[in-house]
Amino acid sequence: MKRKKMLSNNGFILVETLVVSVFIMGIFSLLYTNFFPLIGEYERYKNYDTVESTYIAHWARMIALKGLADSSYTTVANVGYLDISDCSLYVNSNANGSCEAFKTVNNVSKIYLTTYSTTSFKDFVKDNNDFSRSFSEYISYLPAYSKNAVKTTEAGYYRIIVEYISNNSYKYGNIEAFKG
Amino acid sequence: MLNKKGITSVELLVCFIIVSAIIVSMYNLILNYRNREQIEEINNEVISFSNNLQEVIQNDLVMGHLVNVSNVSEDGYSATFTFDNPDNYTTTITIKPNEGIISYGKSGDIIDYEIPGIADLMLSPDSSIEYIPADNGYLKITIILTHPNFEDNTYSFMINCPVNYVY
Repeated sequence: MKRKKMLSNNGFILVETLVVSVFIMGIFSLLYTNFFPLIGEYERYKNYDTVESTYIAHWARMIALKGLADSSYTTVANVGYLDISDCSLYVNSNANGSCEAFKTVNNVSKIYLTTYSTTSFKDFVKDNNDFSRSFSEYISYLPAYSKNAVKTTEAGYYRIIVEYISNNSYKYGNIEAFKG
Repeated sequence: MLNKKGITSVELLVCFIIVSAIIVSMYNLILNYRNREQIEEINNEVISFSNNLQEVIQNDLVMGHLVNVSNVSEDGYSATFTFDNPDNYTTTITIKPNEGIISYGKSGDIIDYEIPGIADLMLSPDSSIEYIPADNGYLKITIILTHPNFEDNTYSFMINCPVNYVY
């Protein structure tokens, strides 16, 4: 008991200092490794669904609603998605010219029509290596929009996704579309 | 007697060296994040400015239904827009790079949208208003802001709209 009491009177020893230092370094490195990827994600999200891209998606929606044939919407209802970047698909109301002008002026590189819920499209992009990394990352970031039971394809709800180039980088936007 | 001592000089020295090493190693990291914070502050102000301007102009272009673009100046700094919804009305836009102002609104109700008061932030003379004769015509407004902290020194945004788009 006497010996134990003597040890308790010890001050701050080197081993204790090292243990505390290692512990603190461990906490800092843990914080750093968790914090660093967040900054990378933030850098990517800056190019997603901005005011600019939402208005571009809006005009893509207007042209798609006016120009796409009903068969395109049937395909989307069956498959879950359709690449509508090709302006020859816009067969109604002379929307072909509107599509060409829209793509040229806004530097649009991709337009996709999907069901309101993006679940099928997300799975397709995830399993396909043909898409660029930035496009795959955006689709992965998108919510599935699958909780809204009212906004279904049967009720006429779809989604438009656009990719365009601005400020030398790819930007993305999406907007829901209602085909009444 | 020695065991009853608190912190010895050697222990204090070791502790001091370790803490100093940690502080020095973190100094650059903190400095880096401080710079990034300042850059993001500037970005946030510029993005707020651009969002506000886009909302105001796009609201007219989409809701008012743009039917004509006229008086586009040779330097591409000013133009007049005509809308037909709910009734006919016109708005004018003027880009003033030297003053850092974009003026927009209906006649007699024009508002000056001044770029944020950030040192070295400039409204680029390359900003422009274009009427593109594609399809029925397309309005393309490109606003470019310059600042040394931006990637490639520039931040730009577009306000584009088809003219007389038939719904």
